[in-house]
Amino acid sequence: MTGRPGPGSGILARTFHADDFRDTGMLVEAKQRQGVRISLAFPTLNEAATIGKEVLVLRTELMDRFLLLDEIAVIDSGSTDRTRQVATRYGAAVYQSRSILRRYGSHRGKGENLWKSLYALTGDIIVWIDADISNIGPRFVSGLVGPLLADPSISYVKAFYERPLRAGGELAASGGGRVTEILVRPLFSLYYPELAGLVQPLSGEYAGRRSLLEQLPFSVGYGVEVGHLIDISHGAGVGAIAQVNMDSRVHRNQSVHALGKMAFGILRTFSDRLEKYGEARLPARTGTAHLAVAAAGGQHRIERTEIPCVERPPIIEIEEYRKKFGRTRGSGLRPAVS
Amino acid sequence: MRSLSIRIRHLLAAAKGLFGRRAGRLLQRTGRAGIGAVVSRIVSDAILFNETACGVDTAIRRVGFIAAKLAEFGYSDPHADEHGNISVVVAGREPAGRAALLFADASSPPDAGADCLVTLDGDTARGRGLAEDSIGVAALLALAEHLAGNGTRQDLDCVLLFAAAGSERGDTQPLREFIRGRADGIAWAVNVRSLLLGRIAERPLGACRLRVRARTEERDVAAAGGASSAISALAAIASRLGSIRWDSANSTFLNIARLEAGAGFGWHATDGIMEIEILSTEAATLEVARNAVQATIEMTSEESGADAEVEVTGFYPVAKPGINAVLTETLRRVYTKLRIRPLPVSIPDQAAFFSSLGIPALSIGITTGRRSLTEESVDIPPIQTGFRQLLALLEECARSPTGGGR
Repeated sequence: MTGRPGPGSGILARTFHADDFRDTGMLVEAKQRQGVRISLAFPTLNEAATIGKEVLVLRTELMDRFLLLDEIAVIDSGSTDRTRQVATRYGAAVYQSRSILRRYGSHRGKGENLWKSLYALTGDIIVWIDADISNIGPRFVSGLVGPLLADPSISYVKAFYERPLRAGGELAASGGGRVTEILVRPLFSLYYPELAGLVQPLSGEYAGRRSLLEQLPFSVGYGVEVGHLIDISHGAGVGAIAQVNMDSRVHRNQSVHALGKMAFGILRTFSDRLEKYGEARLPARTGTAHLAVAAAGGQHRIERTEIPCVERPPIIEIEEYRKKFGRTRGSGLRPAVS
Repeated sequence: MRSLSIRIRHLLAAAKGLFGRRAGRLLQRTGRAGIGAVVSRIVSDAILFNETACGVDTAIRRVGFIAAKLAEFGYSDPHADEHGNISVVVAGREPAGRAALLFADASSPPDAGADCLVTLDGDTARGRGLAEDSIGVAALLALAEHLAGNGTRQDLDCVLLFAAAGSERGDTQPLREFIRGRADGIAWAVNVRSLLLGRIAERPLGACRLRVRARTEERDVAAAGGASSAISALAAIASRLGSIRWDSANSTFLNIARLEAGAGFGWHATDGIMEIEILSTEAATLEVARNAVQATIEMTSEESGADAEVEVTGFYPVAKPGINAVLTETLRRVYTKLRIRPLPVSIPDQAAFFSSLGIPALSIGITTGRRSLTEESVDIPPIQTGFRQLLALLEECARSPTGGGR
């Protein structure tokens, strides 16, 4: 823990605004000069209400009008609504997560989709955007890609924003980020103060260089973002991380119950990282289920939800991946780790 | 107004500086073969434009969006005025000092909150504002993009105007400012609207829009006797106005456009608003009808024990007879060519403002859709035909000896 910079240093110095990169022509020129491909993927599970607009707007603005993106894909966890049909209709390549690297099995979770997208996508720069944004715009991609094209020392860029929540027909002026402020920021303050300068460490919109992402293990569930940040800070260093202000992001509100389960998954990943890097010693046995207290008819009962803490290895360790992308490094095949 | 003007000028300068140098060069153009791709661009721009109404500073955000798009398409000299009108000129082959004007209403609606956020479902786009004007604005942007890449076959210059005039409100002041000193230079004008693909309004109606605010005294909802509620007062006004026959030729009509009153169950309605439009093909009758409506409102509200305030919120003049004959015929040829079923309509719109100045002017719709109290939606597939209609109209007018107009 010693020798780390205090909070506010480092990442705050690499904090941008999406408007800094709104000149799409400049980004296209930089991309062409560097000879890189850029891929965008949406991890989805039942997002039929918003995915069509996201795909249409970003494909039109950044693939059709300007050649900033080389591909747009949807990596779907098995939606039961019309997510896949809508995404196809508006021009995305649609993959079922379980069909990618089938030999390694399948887990349910956003992190699983992100990990598998590294195999399915072809870009040197990968952009991930959550599929529930109601006010999508090109800035969500250009803002994330901009720092990577502008500064070779930056390898991982996270979005942050105001988060007005949709409540009926109204937009609440502020809200969201509750898990960040109540759980993640206190944990970062305790253990990784150099990461406390991230405004929204859990934001679902981020981009990275394949050369970095292929070296990272992926929690398949809620902990994927926290896991990345801690692993990057230990490996490439926080100097590789930048963040970008996207102004505002309108999305659905989540219930406290859902946030509780999310916090449980994040805490498990966080604990695993503390253990992995020898920064704390944890009891040999920890729970695997989130326990909530539900009240009904004057009675209370425990509601138990299993939240598996499955972690995928760095994808560079997967033989098929190394073959597809001509990589030589890696310590051999390691199927899903539970 | 002055601060809006300064901010608009800054926005234009910023957009030019940002995009002017390289965006036009790197932009992927759509040729005539790629007209299908235009639909995606129209829908995408309509979504992004529509959602500027969600939040604060809508006027500036709308101007900023249009300025950035025009600069992106390679226009280096868009003109903006202090009202928020933005225009560009596409030079014709043999400009002789007169121009064709195509315009869309890019004015700022009241904050629509989350209702202006658009959703796409199959072939339908939903969101408050889409059906009103956002598709029209996006279609005009697509035309600007097309002309920047392909030029025009018109002899006349082509002026594309993103007007700050509110068609919903009947506010013609920004158009008046735009046209000041240049009315003689406009050969014909077309208002590009979202809805009513195939519309034909040979002689747009004049309209006068009124807003009635009724107030009554507070009392317990269950109290016997006493004054009428705002709802019953407004209902009495609506009922009495509805029974009037304005003229023997049926050239004048009255439309109760909106009625809002009451605070809900358990409360006596003390406050309400009713919006009325009077439509007529006769300028003199329109004036008489307006005076009669105002007098009827005052008399009926007095009988109901309500206080009523009447405000004129908008006025579209009556078009000069026969002014649009050539332009209407040209539009009919376009409809025949594209197999668009003509849809005769009698509705007031901003085109009437130009017709009243002696400029042939019509409105066209880009697609089909619906507007209701709670929802607005537009159909995506007809947009392709709607945009073809715009190009075909320009071509047909280019063939006409009068350029399609006077």
